[in-house]
Amino acid sequence: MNFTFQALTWGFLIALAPLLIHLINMMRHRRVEWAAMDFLLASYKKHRRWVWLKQLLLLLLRMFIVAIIVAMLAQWDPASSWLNRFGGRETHHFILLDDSYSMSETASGQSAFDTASKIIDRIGLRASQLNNQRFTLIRFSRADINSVTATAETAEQLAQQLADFSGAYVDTNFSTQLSDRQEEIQVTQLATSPVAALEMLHHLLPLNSDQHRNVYVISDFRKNEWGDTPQVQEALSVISGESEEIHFVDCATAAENNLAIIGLSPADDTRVAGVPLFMHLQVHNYGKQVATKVQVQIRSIFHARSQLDSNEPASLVGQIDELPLLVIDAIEPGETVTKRVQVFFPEGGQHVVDAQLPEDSLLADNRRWAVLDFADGDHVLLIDGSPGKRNEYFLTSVFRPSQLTNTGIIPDVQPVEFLRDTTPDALGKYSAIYMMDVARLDADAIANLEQYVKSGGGLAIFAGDQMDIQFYNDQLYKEGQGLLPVRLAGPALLVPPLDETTPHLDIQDHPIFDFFLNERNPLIRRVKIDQYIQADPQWIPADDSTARVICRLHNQQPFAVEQTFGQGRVVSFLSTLSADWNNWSQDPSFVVVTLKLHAHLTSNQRLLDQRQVGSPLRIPLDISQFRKDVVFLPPSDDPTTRPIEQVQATQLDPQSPIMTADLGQPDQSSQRDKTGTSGIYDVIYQRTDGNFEAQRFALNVESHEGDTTIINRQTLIANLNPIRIELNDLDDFLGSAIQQAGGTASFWIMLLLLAGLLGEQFLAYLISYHPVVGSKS
Amino acid sequence: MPDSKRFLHPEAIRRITRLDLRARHIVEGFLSGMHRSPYFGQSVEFLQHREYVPGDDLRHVDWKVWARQDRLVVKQFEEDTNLRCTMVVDVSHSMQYGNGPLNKFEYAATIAASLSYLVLQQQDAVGCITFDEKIRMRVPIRSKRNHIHSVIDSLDTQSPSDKTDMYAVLREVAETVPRRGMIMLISDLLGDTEGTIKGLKLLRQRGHDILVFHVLDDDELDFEFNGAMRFDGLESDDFLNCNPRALREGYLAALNEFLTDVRRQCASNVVDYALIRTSDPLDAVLAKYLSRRLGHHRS
Repeated sequence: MNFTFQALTWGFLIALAPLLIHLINMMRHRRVEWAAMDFLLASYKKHRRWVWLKQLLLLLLRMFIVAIIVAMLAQWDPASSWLNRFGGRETHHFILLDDSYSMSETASGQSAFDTASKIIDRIGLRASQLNNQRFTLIRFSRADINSVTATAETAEQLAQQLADFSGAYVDTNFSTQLSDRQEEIQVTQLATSPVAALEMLHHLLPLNSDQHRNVYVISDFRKNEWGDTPQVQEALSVISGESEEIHFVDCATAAENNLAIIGLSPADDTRVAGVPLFMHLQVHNYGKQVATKVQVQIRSIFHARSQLDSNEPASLVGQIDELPLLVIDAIEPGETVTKRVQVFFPEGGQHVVDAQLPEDSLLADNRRWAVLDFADGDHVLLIDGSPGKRNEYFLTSVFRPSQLTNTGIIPDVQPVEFLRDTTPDALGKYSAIYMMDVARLDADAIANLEQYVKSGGGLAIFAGDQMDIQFYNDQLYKEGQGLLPVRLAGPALLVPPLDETTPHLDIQDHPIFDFFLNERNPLIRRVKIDQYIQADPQWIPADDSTARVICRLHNQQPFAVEQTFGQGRVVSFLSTLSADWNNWSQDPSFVVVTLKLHAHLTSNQRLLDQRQVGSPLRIPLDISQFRKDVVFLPPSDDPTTRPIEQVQATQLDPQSPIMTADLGQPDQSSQRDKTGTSGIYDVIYQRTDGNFEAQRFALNVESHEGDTTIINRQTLIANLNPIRIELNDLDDFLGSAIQQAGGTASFWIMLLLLAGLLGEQFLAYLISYHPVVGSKS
Repeated sequence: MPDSKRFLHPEAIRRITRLDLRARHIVEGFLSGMHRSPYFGQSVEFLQHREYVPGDDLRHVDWKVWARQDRLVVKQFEEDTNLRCTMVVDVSHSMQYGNGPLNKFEYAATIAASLSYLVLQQQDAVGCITFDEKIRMRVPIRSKRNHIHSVIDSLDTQSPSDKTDMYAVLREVAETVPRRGMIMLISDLLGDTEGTIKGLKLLRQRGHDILVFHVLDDDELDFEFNGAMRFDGLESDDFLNCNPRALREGYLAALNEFLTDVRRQCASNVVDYALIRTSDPLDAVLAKYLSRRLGHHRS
């Protein structure tokens, strides 16, 4: 017999009360001296057995009714005990807990995750009051992606490893164990899908086919996770065939305001110390109301190289510069507003920019970090093949216009032979190479250039009358396999357009020209092209080619052609950079286009390291230059007392000179919590000569998880049709968890009690115990 | 209900403690309500005058005629006393039961006293016999007005005790009341029904008119008890612990069977039978008597 309130089972003694009352009544007979005893005795003789039987039945029925009432008060669960008595199956509660950061959304001081914890507590409490109960708790974040491909044999092993409880036998102490465990379980900052957890469950359920399997999916059921997800439906359809009950327990709060920073990225400009840089900040309103006067606090954190003299966290505290508060007037629901802010770092290195919104219902997406690699200077190589070096002058003028104006670009003018005599490593220090009116190149120069571009360098080729067209086609174009993106035909004069207002250049939508494309900027319209190198009319880029025309002349001949080559980019202009064939270099638009061109050529080298919370950090180190001891410093509210994770770098391949140090493991969800907090992760390692080096990473939450739009119940049911699920809400579990757990049983007990009461009345009526009006007592 | 009869209810009668006063109260109350009754004066109605002859009772001389006409005449009535009435009252232990204002014995005694008073009022003769298992007291039959006191004394001094042996008693009554008359048996008839009927038959064989007033309490007739009770036999050592509601149906069935049998036997032996509840107004009993008396006169 299982009761929620064991102490109340003493109340069953009250069931003896009717018997006691009966005995007392027998002792308290009212005595009457009676004349007509013969008739009374005749009646007694005739009805004695039946009366006695009915009285006994009535007495037993009354005792039974009292017992039922006591059982109800003590929360009796008859089902399990009856089942157990007749060899009933074990009941296994499989609980899948959504611990993605949307569950931290708070309304009225309580988060969805708090609600979920209470529900789990109730389920565990009830299970602990029953016999033959097992309990499995799997968090979405812990469900391994490997579980999708797991086999039945490995599934249980995975569950043992990843689940908080895996088929735990529930005894009377289980409730305490669960509470202790729940104190350790916190909502994560991850954006986890239910698919992995469902897949994991899919493998576990068949292993427990002899049990009564109840599946509880406890989540906030956001639209972006449960809206239109065939994977979820597929996983659930499998599970529904292997479980007796599926409960969807909705924990979503009724919060209505959530702003999220969904982007914080630098503009695609030269990123050099001493040069201001624009940051693009994107704020999205996931709420249902217009957000007004949104204040965004932005900070830049400058990390000077000289500060790093140990692997202590305090040595990594940078210089924090609070930028002026950014105020966004209004953000409509569902709208994303992008703002630009300018940051400045005087010295090269890895610096940090972070932006923060005021507190709202969901905190995790209110803050975002970006780590920016700033070089001390941006070295570019200028190779000018023209006789009077007329081209490099213009470029130098753009890159270093004066001593006071710093573009961060440091031009290095070298002769053509430099390309032949240098090495690829030496070229590697240049972010871009500008080759202007170069007649031809040696094979070594071509090889160096190809390797340079393949490894991510940027190359700009400007035409001129020195160019050997045949050489360019044979050695640089190489039928689409070379550096040159277009096959050339030869010099040609550009016939001016009939309409003088028609610009010579027909610019395309491209980062180099978009500055002029979307604005009524007349500057580039004044550029006049007199001569150019005509592209081969037969030239058509191959299907697998990345070559594309990014600017045409007014006669639709290509003027600028771009292609990627390896990891680098090549942009070829089919006219001179100097004023020999055009007047562009004398036009103000030239400065803009050149700087844009440079930013575009080097953009591959400035790929922003966008990492999400939970993704592992891997640090490759040259075994000959670095020691094995690596310190990871996860984020903390107090930058001087950050937790320290000491890791030994290991050689994955004994033949490789590279060793790696990892925080978290790729594809291992159990390691996710090591990088489960958003913020800046610093990594400090030491050179063999004793000097310390640091590297830092920004891990941010996945922005779409902040979309807290709840899926409509009908839609959810329709999406999952024909899978049979039971939708429960907060009240079902919090208000009457016990009743819910044994609800059906309670209903039957209530019916039993009702039947007992009716039976008692009927029997009492039969025995004529009902008082007659005016009768003598 | 007429006001005069308001005082004939047992509740009202109970307040009158002296049986003689009680009887007088009942009869006078009854008669005042019955003065238009055709029964009234049947035995005392003036018939004619006749000349006085020596030897006539001077009490019957009509002095008003002598005063007016100076001649002696005597009044002659239609009928003189010709009814000899014997009250046979049960004073056994079972008669002691009663839950109302009057128990069965008190009710029976009151009936007997009232009837006796009425009988004597009508110039008839009345006697009284009380009994349980044997005759306890016997008051001879007399027609004097003050004979009522003897009757009442015989009833007043009784307290119910002992069992009933109806046949033995009735047989003795039959033997000791040789002249035909009216026997009024006032009893609950609990006991040997067969003996009772047998006794009544014997009385009928002796030419008596018999009027049976079967006095039962409401409890005995309705048996509306509740709660656990112990019934101790008044005339036996039997007892029963029971819930009376559970036995009520069977009890009433047995009682009705008994009553039906008694009524049927009485009817078959030309015995007037009247079932009286102790809660009934007492004039109803007198009415039954007068009804019977009328029948006797006409016969």
